[in-house]
Amino acid sequence: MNLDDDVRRLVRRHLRFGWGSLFLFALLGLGLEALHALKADAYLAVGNETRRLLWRLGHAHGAVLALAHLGFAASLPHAARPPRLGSACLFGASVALPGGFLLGGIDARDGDPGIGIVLTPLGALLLLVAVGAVWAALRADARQG
Amino acid sequence: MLPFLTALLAALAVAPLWRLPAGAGGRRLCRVAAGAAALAAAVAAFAFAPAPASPPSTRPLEVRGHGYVGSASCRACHPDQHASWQASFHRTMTRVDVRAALVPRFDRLQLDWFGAPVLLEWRGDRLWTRFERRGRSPAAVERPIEQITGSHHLQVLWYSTGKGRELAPVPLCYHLEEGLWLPLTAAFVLPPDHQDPPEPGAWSQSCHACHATNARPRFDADHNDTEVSEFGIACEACHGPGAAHAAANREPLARFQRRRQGHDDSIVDPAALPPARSAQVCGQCHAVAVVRQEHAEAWREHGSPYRPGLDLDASHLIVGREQRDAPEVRRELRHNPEFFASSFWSDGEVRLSGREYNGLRRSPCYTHGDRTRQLDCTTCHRMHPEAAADLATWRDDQLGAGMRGNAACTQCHGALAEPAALAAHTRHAPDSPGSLCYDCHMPHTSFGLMKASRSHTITSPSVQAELATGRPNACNQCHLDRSLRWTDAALRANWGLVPATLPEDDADVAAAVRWLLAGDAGQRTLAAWSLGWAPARAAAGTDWMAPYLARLLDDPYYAVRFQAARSLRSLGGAVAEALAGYDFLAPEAAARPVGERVAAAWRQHYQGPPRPALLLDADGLQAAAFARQFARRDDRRVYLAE
Repeated sequence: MNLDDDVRRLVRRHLRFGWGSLFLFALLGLGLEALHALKADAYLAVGNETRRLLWRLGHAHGAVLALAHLGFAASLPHAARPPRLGSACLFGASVALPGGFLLGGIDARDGDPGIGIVLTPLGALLLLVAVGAVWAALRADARQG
Repeated sequence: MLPFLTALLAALAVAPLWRLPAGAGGRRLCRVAAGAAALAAAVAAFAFAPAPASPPSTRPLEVRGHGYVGSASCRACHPDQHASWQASFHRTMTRVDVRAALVPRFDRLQLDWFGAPVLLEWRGDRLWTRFERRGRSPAAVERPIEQITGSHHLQVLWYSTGKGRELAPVPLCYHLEEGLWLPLTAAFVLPPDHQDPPEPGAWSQSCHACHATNARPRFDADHNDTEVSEFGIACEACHGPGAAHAAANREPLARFQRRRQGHDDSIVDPAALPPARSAQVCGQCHAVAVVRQEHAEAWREHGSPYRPGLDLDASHLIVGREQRDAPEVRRELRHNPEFFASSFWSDGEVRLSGREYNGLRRSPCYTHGDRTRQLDCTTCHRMHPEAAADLATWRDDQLGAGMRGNAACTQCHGALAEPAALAAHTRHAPDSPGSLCYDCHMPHTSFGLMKASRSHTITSPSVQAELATGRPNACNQCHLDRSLRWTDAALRANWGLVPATLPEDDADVAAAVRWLLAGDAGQRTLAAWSLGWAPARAAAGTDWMAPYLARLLDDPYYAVRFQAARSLRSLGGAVAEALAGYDFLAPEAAARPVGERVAAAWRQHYQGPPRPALLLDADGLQAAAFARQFARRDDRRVYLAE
């Protein structure tokens, strides 16, 4: 398998994941809108403000990370070497960041998120590494000319 | 379940790192870091997973149901109304978040309750109290504070007795405006030997009704399981149970259909009810009322049968003196023999503040029978203020925009909006307090929570009514330095009233002098308050007040002393300085010298002309006349509590 095949496989994986997760998070957005339309207490009552915030954050982070996968796929041909570490971290962040917000919102209580929120810092760390790795790969490509 | 899901997601998140191909930079390091991070997340998920919350067992329980959904559900559709209710004192009538609700900040506080120590102490997140109950069982109390009632004038702390959900009040309360702790019984006009706070269980027996929404007492001699739908006076106290309304409006199409129609029958809007029914919504709390006999047994289990929109008279007896023989009143009198004297003037007008509905029902603006212009509470008050209103001002008495002035009355009495017509009617300058409708027709003749309140029985000033009942007349509440004879002449000359039959012995003595020296404790308290009231000070002057207020500094009633000291302090100057160190709870022997000191300080500076109505010579007080009035003091026992 040569480098081009490797890159193409990686591109396809990120495109599949990106569009797939964008679909899922758009669906989640529809679900949240439905909760508004149906005036669901579990989402709109005063005591559930933290849950509402966390689920909105989960929805937003998931959708933006889905777009980041598409951006990653578009960036890959411009990297000197496929940033495998960045790819792995981006996948991890896409699970941990929105997952942490969504799980944390389920049992939010007294203004505090639920225990699922522990995933969020893990996701944030993975996202930072991913972005840094891609940036480094693109810089290396630029240096090689 | 959630810890497992969290651990699973952590593993999924690091799995791509685990699967990095050989040769990828730092694969081993990545694996170690990823594994450690996932493990840490999983451990944290299990270690810090919160225990399921269990309902409190030592205080009244907040339980939804019975058609009530709670105010938290209302905000989704009514954010503005929810916000103004949030700012109101109705919301904070009872609070269980003691740390956030309690205004004074301390770690440990030792207070004095008529010579006995009362300890308040934070132990972790809970406030505890410790004190001895004199002559009661159990004698020693060391219990956690469970809730606080009041947030406008006083804060009363309630501890759990350990008997089910039964609560009892700490014997001291916190006065918010003065920033001081005082015995609970001193916060009301009560005889001085009345020092013990209400017995344990008082909250379940009576306080709950107006400090919580849809309370259900559920207590007897052996158990206490009081429940409420919501602590504080919340949305459903005035709008009725909201579950059906919330359910009916969950469906978006139905919601928009109702909006298009412009009305919604699934909830009560007190402002849209006929005036009499609308006023009853407020009257369920703001009245001297008792549950009717036929509902008494069900009340114990289910609470008040009244719901907004229904007829309050069907479920409650709105008490007036004419109902003295009603079985409900006889039942009440068995518990509280002072029931009438503690609530009404002798003609049946309410004497206790916070009971405005009784007053409204006796007002001609309410009883005239024309529903198109019948007065109700919403004529002047707004439970949700206008958009531009300053919430901090509005929340004090919840008046609508402009309703602090004559606009409240000129809604119907439009001709008096014209300054010339107003001056012709009032015989006072149109921009003076004497031309403010409230001051003449709603004088401050009720008292509670350490302040005077306006009567909501709209009347015209009458010397005859004062002679018959002892209730201060509106003219002399401003013209404190004038006699009843002066007032009677003014009412005859300016408004054509029939002359009153005046008592010959003190018809020429200033009204305030009679109230302060010879009145009962309630009259003395009102009078001492009036001497601090700005419009009265402007009309009557202040240079004569100090010796009269000083005489009240060792009054048997603490409430009288408190008001006297407050008015004296606001006089400033030498008399206020002479008041330094005064403790209104001190024994009479200790309080009297302070009064003498204040009077002496006044005498040194007083240079006024002789003023016979005020018993003043050029040299100062006419001692004999002063003593004669003081000897007439009405020492009947007065109970003006909540």
